[in-house]
Amino acid sequence: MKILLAEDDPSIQSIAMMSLSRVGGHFVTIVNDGKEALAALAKDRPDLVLLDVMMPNMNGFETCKRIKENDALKDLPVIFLSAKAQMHEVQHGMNLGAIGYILKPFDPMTLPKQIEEVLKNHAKAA
Amino acid sequence: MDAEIKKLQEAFLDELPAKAAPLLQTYGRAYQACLAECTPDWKALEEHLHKLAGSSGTYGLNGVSKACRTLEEQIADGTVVKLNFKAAAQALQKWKKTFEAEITAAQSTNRKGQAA
Repeated sequence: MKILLAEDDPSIQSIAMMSLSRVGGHFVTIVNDGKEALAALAKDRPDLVLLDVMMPNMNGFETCKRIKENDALKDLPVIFLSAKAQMHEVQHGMNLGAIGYILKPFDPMTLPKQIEEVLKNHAKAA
Repeated sequence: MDAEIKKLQEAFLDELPAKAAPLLQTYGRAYQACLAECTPDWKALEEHLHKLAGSSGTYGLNGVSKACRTLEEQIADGTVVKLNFKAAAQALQKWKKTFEAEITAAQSTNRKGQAA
């Protein structure tokens, strides 16, 4: 699966890349913020977008909103990967059209499985 | 795979003082603001705490993560923001001691692990 990860923290980028590519076997592209994510999406469509929430230039919520407003991208599955764990924040993310919200800190050995579960549940609900 | 994660963890720990520096600088400004009876930039402090809480927790530094998360939540829910300046300064100072103790403990564990 091709995954686009938008995450500004280099430490999280490293461990998420290791988790998703080495543990999960996915092909991962990493960008640093929402603006870069939208630019990357204009060039190449992944199978999944993983969004951090707190990012410079454009945060994850705004990025998800822009993805869902774009006819060419609105069906793209978006999952938030964030330490923003208050219920209203999670609900906000889901209301923007995300199919899942995975909390940080995450376990790099099980993150791919968590993503798989979210995608499976989403497919069942559809 | 475990060896790869361990390598990343060791690198994170080595870089931890540098990663904590922006947080501690923002903390310092907040603390000084409280002492001067000026409203600190709580939002900036909350953001730095949030970032380090997430990354340190992901790298298994649960004590550091918890310390950051605690103050982050106290800022977000207004607990520390509503305090008078003196009490806020004291709360920040107390937090810093806990935070630095957790960093020291994490680095000490890492050094023991590397020596073994």
